[in-house]
Amino acid sequence: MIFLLILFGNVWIWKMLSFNIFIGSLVILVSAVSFVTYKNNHKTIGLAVLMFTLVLVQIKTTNVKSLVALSETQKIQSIQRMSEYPPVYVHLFGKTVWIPAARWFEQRHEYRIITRLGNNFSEVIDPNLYFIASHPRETDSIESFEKFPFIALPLFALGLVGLIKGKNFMLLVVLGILPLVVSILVGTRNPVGPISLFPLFWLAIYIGADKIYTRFATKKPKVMVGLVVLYILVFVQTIIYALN
Amino acid sequence: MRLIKNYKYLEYVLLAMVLAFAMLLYFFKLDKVPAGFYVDEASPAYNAYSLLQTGKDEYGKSFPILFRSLGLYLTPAYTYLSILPIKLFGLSIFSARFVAVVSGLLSAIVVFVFVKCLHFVKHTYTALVTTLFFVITPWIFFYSRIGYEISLSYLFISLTALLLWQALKNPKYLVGALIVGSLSTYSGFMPRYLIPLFFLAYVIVFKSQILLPKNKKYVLLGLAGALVIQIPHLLIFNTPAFLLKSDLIGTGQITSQASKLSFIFIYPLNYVFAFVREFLANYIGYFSLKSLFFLPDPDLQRSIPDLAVFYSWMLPLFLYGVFSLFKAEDGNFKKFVLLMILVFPIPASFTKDPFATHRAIALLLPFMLIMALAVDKLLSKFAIKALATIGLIVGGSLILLWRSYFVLYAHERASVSGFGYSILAENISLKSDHFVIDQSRIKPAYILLAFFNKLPSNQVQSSVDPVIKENYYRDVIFNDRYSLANFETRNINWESDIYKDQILVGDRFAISESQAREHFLTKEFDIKNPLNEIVFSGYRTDPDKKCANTGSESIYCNR
Repeated sequence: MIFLLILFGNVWIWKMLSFNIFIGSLVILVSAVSFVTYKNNHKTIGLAVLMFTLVLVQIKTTNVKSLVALSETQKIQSIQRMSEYPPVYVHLFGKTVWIPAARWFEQRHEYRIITRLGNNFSEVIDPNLYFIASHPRETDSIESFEKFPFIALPLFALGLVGLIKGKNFMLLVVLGILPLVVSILVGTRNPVGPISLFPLFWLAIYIGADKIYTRFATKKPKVMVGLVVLYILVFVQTIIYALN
Repeated sequence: MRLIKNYKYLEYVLLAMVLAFAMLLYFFKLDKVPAGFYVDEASPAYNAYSLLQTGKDEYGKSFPILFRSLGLYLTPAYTYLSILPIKLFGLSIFSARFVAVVSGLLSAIVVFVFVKCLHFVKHTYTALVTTLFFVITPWIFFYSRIGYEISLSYLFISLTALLLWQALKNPKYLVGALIVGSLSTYSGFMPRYLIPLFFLAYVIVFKSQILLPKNKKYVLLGLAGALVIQIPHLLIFNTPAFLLKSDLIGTGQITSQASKLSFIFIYPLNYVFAFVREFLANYIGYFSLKSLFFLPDPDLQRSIPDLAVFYSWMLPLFLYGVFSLFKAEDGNFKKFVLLMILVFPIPASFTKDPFATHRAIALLLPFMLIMALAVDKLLSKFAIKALATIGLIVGGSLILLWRSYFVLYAHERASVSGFGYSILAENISLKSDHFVIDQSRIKPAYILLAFFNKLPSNQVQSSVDPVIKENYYRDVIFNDRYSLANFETRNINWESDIYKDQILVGDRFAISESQAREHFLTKEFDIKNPLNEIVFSGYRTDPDKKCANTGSESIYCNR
């Protein structure tokens, strides 16, 4: 029941299914395989193949932003910034050595690439993107919606710790590192978000929820029922926000 | 033995060097960057000047408990402490920002002492390196160069935290913690909410170590001291002045979200769910790695272009520190750091601003302590290599800081930091003309002009309604209309002002070209920011020409 509640009790999966039934189904399949791999400690080859397909789908559906190109506004800003720098020089052995700091920062590609990769990274790892629709710091570069109900955040944290402690490093690489690296490179301008990260989020939330279930289901069943009801209510809240 | 003594001696010499370096960094171009001067800086500085001259604030109130300022009531510590630098250096931007710089530097010492107090820190230079990282961190650097309460509040909060930490080993420190904590409520608005919450959480978490019969005398002594310090607050507790900042809570957003939920969630459940979601969004935002290491504060006035509150390179250090924290053997330290991390963003999360760095600056301390764990591990493992890397990293960070703060911020944020008032004040003081400063879109200009022109405080005091002084803590309505020396601050009255011989001043939208043509106004001056954009324009009126061209129809022409 928890398996299904978490798999379908989030706006993200429904958005993916309505965006493209194939993508939604693929995500469900990858999530199910990741669950089986985790539960049975299976080898990750099959999962890796599926994840690779999912990653390709993400790349295909993402509006990939160049790491070096500038928009018209950015070009104007770059020219303006060039004029803001003072002359930078050092005296070395009686000679004046000029340092083109403005050019290094504003015109060379290296600094721009590092900055943009950093920004992509920061967007992908931001918990608000997944649990609170990037609120209150919404940006126009991300399709913002509450992917999971915010009540799932502590479950995710609990599950992620469990996943890391589980020491199935290959599973972490396939579910976490691979989609993370791809999302950093291509950015998050995807109408349904960084889809290849869904299985990791789903699995971590499931593990967290399972820990809670194991603790409360038999000893305090009323607490467990209360938590399930709360999860459903918050899910309804996220649906209302997504529809408005 | 001598070797050990030399090591200690060397460490303090190096600490002195780090502080001297920080002093250079924090005082460098202090009067030039920020390029402008905030109205929030001018108010405490001018009030300190006023107290120095007359023993009264700008409203003529003797030594207030809270300072009535621009529609708010400011906590008093920053203003009172600014009296000394203003006495020493005169009324200037430098002296207005002096207390903030000194507070930032003293906070660095608190960080050093805190790390030195951690018995499990192995490497001799961990405290030193952490202090070095602390002083170059954009979060403290930025607020240490702005002349209002933030860095001072942070100093009080971090000192309280240090004393509470020490109290776990020696309960005598509880007395100091309670006294400093109580004092901190006069240093800023955030400590007023944060400190009681912090103490409460501290007692809950550490009750088995603190609430012991043998500690009773220290607790009682500390509480007595704290209570005595709170007497001034108790005197004004029931006035609007004490509670005025409650309007910062984002009730509008919660109401709007609750209305969306109302057709499924019955009242008050819709409000509960909307509030929890809104609060959590803000709260989680303070732990967002994006906000901490990559994106600047969304408020342009409180952020540096292209620089977050920590450098991006600090992220791996932070993550390694978090890992080390969970592995740490000292349970008390783990609990204490987590306590700070969980409690410090709570008051800020109740306000409507997302990731308000000035309200959550207290988080800087636990985050630095977490990084100290990583620094210690790295220094213990790699020693010389780590020190060389630290040198490179600090060098690189300073280049980034120079670019973002001294170049981009100085130019691009000049207007939002109140650029142009010093030039306007100079124009006003050099001319004998009467000036009308249009107040419709700008922040209250009178205090900035009074500051820059060093207007005698009794002149400002006599220009305000004496009723305000009588009703100082209750009369919260602020009027930005002032008539001082040869200028007035108010909205331009287009019916009458054009018929008087004077100079009308406004921001770039205040007086259009067609208005200037229609009313025969002659451009007297433009004040431009470093990006060459007009900040203020001054136009001279020509009543004779205006009357001649309108056939003296206006009643003002016959005067």
